[in-house]
Amino acid sequence: MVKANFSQLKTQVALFFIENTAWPLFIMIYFVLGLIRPVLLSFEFMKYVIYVTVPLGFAITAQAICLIARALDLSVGSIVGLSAAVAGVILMDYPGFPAELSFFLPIVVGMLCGMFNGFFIGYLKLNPFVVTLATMMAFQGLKIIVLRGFTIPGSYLPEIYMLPGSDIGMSMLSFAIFLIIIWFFLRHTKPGIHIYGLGGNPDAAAMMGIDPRKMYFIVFTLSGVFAGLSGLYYTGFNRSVPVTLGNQILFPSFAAAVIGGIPLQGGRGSVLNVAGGALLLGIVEAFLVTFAISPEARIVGYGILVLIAVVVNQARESMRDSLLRRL
Amino acid sequence: MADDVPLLEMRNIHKFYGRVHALKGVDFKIYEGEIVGLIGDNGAGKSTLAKIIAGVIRKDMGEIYWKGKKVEIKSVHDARKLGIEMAFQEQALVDSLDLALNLFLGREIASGALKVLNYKKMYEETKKALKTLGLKIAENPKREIRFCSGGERQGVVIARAMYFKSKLVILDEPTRNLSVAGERMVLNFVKNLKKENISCIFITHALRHVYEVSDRIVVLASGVKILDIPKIGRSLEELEDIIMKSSAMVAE
Repeated sequence: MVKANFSQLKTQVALFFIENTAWPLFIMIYFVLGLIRPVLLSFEFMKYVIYVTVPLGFAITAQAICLIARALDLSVGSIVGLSAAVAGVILMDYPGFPAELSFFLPIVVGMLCGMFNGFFIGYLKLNPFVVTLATMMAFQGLKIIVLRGFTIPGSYLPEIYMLPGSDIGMSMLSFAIFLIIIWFFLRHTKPGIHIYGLGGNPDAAAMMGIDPRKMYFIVFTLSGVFAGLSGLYYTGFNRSVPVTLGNQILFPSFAAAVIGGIPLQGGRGSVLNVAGGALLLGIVEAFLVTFAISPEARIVGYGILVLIAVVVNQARESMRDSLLRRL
Repeated sequence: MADDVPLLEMRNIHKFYGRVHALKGVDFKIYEGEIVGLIGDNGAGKSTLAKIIAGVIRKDMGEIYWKGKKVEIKSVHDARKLGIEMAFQEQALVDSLDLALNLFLGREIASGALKVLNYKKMYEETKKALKTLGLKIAENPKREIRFCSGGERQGVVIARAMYFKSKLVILDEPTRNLSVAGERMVLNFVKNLKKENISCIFITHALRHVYEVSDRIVVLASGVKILDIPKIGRSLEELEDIIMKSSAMVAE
């Protein structure tokens, strides 16, 4: 009896690690890379890594919400760029805009972009892949038009607007708060769990009275809000809105969400673990930067990373299944 | 006597799939607490009839009465509002969710403007509901449903119907692909439905699957009802004989 309980406990512990792989994996890789580059192990550097990861973390969360619903959002990076660009131009061209409300600008733009996606995917029942492929191009082009091809320097923007992204403490704390809110919504409210149901089996969900049109609309609207937040934090972090903002977010967002344990079949995973995936990506990126690796080589690295993420995830899923069967 | 009014009555139902005449004027009724075995070969029209009742597809002609009142069942939603629960097991469960969330899918216990889920209550209720059916999985309502056997999955669907006090449950080949023990399990579930006065349409291709639990046998062949008799006093062999004879008559 005691023996049986012990083996069950062992299974439970193993299951805990498998389900939250992103965190132990992050810590492990952090120390391995730290041995190669001891500078990484300093407290200051660690803080910096977390801080660098926050803006991307919002975009990753945006992607994760869609993946849970078994949909892919290819336009996530373009929404980040467009929301930062539109908000930046408004704040630059209308200096009278109330600065306390400035934070809402990128969030609202991101939300509108998400609603646009959600309308076509939910109410017109179009394939998310095709819709977001189209809006990825459209939003990216719009961003360049809005910026007239130029970067907005931080000196043209209200200081308070850049505070959430530039103050380390505030940046990290607010990200944690947003993450807990979205986690609570997804796991502990009725519409949230319906998103999981929809991702797990769309036909069953529809048959049980969950309206897929409305749910997809909500999913992409939420995703847009988080992409808009990412735009806000990137602006503060960069202290500018570069024309290229958002161009290289899609791949890391996808990789981190998958490393964070959202299976491509949807219906499972936790956004809290996605934060672990984001940090893992942040540390690898910081490590590569210390070697002064060219941006081109880093793009190759991202491609490989996505593949590794998918392979790791598949292995983890099958391990998790065999453990759960034992219980 | 109130029993004279059927729970569900269908008159002269027709259904066409392109040029195929799938149902050719079928009459069908079921009373409260009655278990009807709906039997027929592949393509006989039994699933078509069930899907019309469940609102999955729509009839082309004919009338449907619910407790004597004429109704239109245009969607699954309409059917559910009347209290009709379908148990097409493959379609009605989400593999990645646990037992409790599947039982409550779409009708979760939640409170407040934010609709915060009451997991504790849902797990308790699931335990109780599955225990009533004598299912071992009742001990672990957090188990993901993909790790459950076919019989257990049917159990969850039936527990769902019982918990939400459905009036009519449609089981489409519930014993297909099940072991002998699984089959036994499902038949016990159906007896539980009867105890709760819930009516049940049990669809199968073989009489022996449903003989034990059914009150009445309805046989369809090529979209026509060829037999509709109560079981009372008839043995399995007698009934099989009658079905054979009526099929032969129709064939001529």
